[in-house]
Amino acid sequence: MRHQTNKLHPIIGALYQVIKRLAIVIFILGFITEVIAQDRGTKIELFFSDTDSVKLITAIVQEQHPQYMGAPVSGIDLYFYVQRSFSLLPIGSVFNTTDELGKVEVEFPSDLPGDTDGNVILLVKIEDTPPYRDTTIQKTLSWGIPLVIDEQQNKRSLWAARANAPMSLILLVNSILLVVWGIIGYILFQLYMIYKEESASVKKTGRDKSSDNK
Amino acid sequence: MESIHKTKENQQILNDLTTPILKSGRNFKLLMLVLSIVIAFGIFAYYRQLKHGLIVTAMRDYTSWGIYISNFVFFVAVSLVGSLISSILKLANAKWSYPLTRIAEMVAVASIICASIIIIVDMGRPDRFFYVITHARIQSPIIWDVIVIITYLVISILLLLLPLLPDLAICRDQLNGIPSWKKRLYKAISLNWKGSPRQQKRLKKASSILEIMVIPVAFAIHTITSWLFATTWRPGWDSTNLGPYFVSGAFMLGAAVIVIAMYFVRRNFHLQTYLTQEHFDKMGKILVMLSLVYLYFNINEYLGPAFKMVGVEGEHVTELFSGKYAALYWFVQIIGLILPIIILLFRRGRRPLIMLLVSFMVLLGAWLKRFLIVIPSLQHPYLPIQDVDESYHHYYPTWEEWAITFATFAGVILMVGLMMKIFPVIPITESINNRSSKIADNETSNK
Amino acid sequence: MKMQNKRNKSRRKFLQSSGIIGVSTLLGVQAFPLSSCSKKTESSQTIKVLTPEGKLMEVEADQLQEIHHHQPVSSKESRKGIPGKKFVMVVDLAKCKNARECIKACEAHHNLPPDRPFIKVLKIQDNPQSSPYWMPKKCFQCDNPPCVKVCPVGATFKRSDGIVLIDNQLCIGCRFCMAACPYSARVFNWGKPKPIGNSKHAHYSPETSTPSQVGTVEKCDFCPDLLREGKLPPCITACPNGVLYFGDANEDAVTNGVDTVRLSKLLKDKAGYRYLEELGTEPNVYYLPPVDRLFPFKE
Repeated sequence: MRHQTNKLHPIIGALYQVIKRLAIVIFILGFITEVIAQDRGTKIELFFSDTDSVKLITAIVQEQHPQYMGAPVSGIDLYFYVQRSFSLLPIGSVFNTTDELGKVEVEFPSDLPGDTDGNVILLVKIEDTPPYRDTTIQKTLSWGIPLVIDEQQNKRSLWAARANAPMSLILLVNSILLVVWGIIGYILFQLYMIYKEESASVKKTGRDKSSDNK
Repeated sequence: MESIHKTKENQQILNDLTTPILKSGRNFKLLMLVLSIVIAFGIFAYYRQLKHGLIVTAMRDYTSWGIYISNFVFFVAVSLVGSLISSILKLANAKWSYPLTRIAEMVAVASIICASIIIIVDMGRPDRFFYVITHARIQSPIIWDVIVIITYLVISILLLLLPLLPDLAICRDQLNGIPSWKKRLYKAISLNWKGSPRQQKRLKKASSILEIMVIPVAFAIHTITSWLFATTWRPGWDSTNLGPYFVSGAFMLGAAVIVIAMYFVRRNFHLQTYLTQEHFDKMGKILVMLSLVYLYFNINEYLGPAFKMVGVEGEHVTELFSGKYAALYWFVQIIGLILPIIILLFRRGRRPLIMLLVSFMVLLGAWLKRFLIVIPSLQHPYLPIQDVDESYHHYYPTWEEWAITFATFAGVILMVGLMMKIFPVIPITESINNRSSKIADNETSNK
Repeated sequence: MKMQNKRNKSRRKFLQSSGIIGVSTLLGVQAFPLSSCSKKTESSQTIKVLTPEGKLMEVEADQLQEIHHHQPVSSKESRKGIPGKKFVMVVDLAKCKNARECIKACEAHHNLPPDRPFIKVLKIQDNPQSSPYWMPKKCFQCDNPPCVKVCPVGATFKRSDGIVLIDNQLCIGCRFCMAACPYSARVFNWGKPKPIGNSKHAHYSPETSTPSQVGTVEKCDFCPDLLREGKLPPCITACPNGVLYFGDANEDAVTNGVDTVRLSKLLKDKAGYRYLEELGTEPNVYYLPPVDRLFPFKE
């Protein structure tokens, strides 16, 4: 590999070196600026209001950087999510941009299910918005529709486990079985009696015979 | 004790009917040997299946049931013959049918045993067979089937045994020169039969209850077998007609099987005086009647779907009428149903040899019919068969499947053959009683 | 040099076999493209992986190998279902172009032979005039499951979270369930199953469906072992076109690994339907009609 590089035209070689160094410098510079830029922290304050079944979340974003401490952060997008099993469900509009007071209002959907107590986990995020650092705040709200767990498993049905077979089926099958096998049992009993009665008489006649011989 | 008079005629009957037990011809021994070889071959095929799994069959994910299942349905159908002859005809007071009862019961017991074996052969995990008892879900039609098969097997054995008691006592008391195991067997299962009035009374009571009870159980066994199919959404199975369709087909098949058995019993055991031309004639009439009933349910089964042509149901019917299975379908309908009806409507068509031929046509038709019930339906699922290996699209049974199928046939014949070597194939007591009553009738009419 | 090569190789091998699941177990993340973790790195000690936020992250290679797979739940436990959940899938037919990535991911996760997939992508043409479309089809996890109804031993069962599973240690191989299923969702181990690929497949639980057993039935199981850990089934995350959505109907949200949407809204807006609704099986898989398609149909 190295031999091949040396064989290249000297101008191209020099150009390659220059571009390579330039790229490294740009990368390092970019990295430094990003680190500095991301340093600007924010504080998100949440207010909740529930009037006439309209549930509103108000977020106010303020600067945390010592230089601009307390100043409203305007014109940035906040992301509102509700935690679900596998992912975060976005709520609000597509863009929830703060106004000049650093304020943004989002309506919480009135029909979103929560856990059995109606609790949902709300997440408010600032994401990929230089110069502000990525921020997430989390809050448990009781604004969800309480989940009613349907205990389907314990219902009697044709697809349930053997213990939960429909009562009518159990009664039907068992009564048929009882009748049919009852009759079979009766017939077997008759056969047994056929066997037994005559075996008694055989013994009896046998004894009679032996006594005759005496 | 015994009410049989030791007349010359009665002794003749006794000799005639016990000869098959005492002596075995060369042909019979040869037949048993051939059957044993066929069964051994089937066992070898099953060994291969146990070793490699069901992959040795041609069944795959779509055609997930094959000739094992159609064969199972076939033998369950055959087993219904027991109830037909020994119960329905008896209750209908068809006195002529008594020489057939034992043959019918033997066939019934043998075929229900074979049906149970086939269904175990079809299982992917036969080692877990007893789970159907220990883990049984009463909701599953398979469990209903297991219950009813066990019940029917017990009833069939009882139905064979009960009328046999007096004959067994005769065998026990009057047969000489039989091996000692046979003697012990007769002694054990004749249940001390002495023919005393008390015993007679009990036997009569038990028999008449059993004869009535076997009818609903027989209907149940085949109806529930049809429900294995009818409880699914498959085209051709999703039908409310399936129960009576199966039951009527089974009775027709049963009658044909009896004719075949009757023919060979009559010829090989020289029982022409007991199984007369008249028996063939009457069985022919019964067969034609049962075939007409089956024809009726057949029309019912196909007319609706063929008229409506709904989706996959329509595809299925088209496939049967004019597609891949058309040749088989029309062979079954014409050779296995229409032609037998036409032939048997004529008196000359009901002679023994022609009856035999017709019965074989019915038998072949019935087996193929069950193939047509099981396999094409599975090849028409709601969602198209795509994205699978070529072998999933069709079903041509492998030699293992055929070997096992032939082995089950051999098993039924072997079992019936062996039973005929132990039990008198024609009821002796009834033959004697019948003859006596006939003489009595003649005497009264002469007077 | 040689040694390093060897190490590199073994690591790659490990990564390939562990795939998405292994890495995501460590990171606690839901999804990232498979390609990113097989990326070659300069150092043999660290590996770059992509987080769901799209950021590269370096992870110690040794750490990756220490992942232990959660012991799957017992057969008895697996009959109960995950409390309070009702799993549901939505398939957007407008987006499927038969990329078959779901099939491959499923194959890897369940250690399936390629000729017997749990997922099939079918070419469907509703009528001669309409254009054909691809229809990914798996088990519909019906609420009125025909397969469970007919099982003689209760080897297949319905759980409280809607999932229909099979306990292959109980299955007797009668194949009644296969005959009963109108969607042909079930496959059978006709012969000896594929040998176990890695330790992940070694511990049997009805929730993992692996290892397979000869003479028993199996099918798509919605990967409840992953769901228990809050992870999506591999088919969902593997789909490059976001066709497959998965979620909990009780939470009214489904995700295709990228977007999360409300289930009720999605079904309402896009006229979601269930396949063969008239059979009354009440599937838990919904389809969105193949309208306004993203791709022209290509064989």
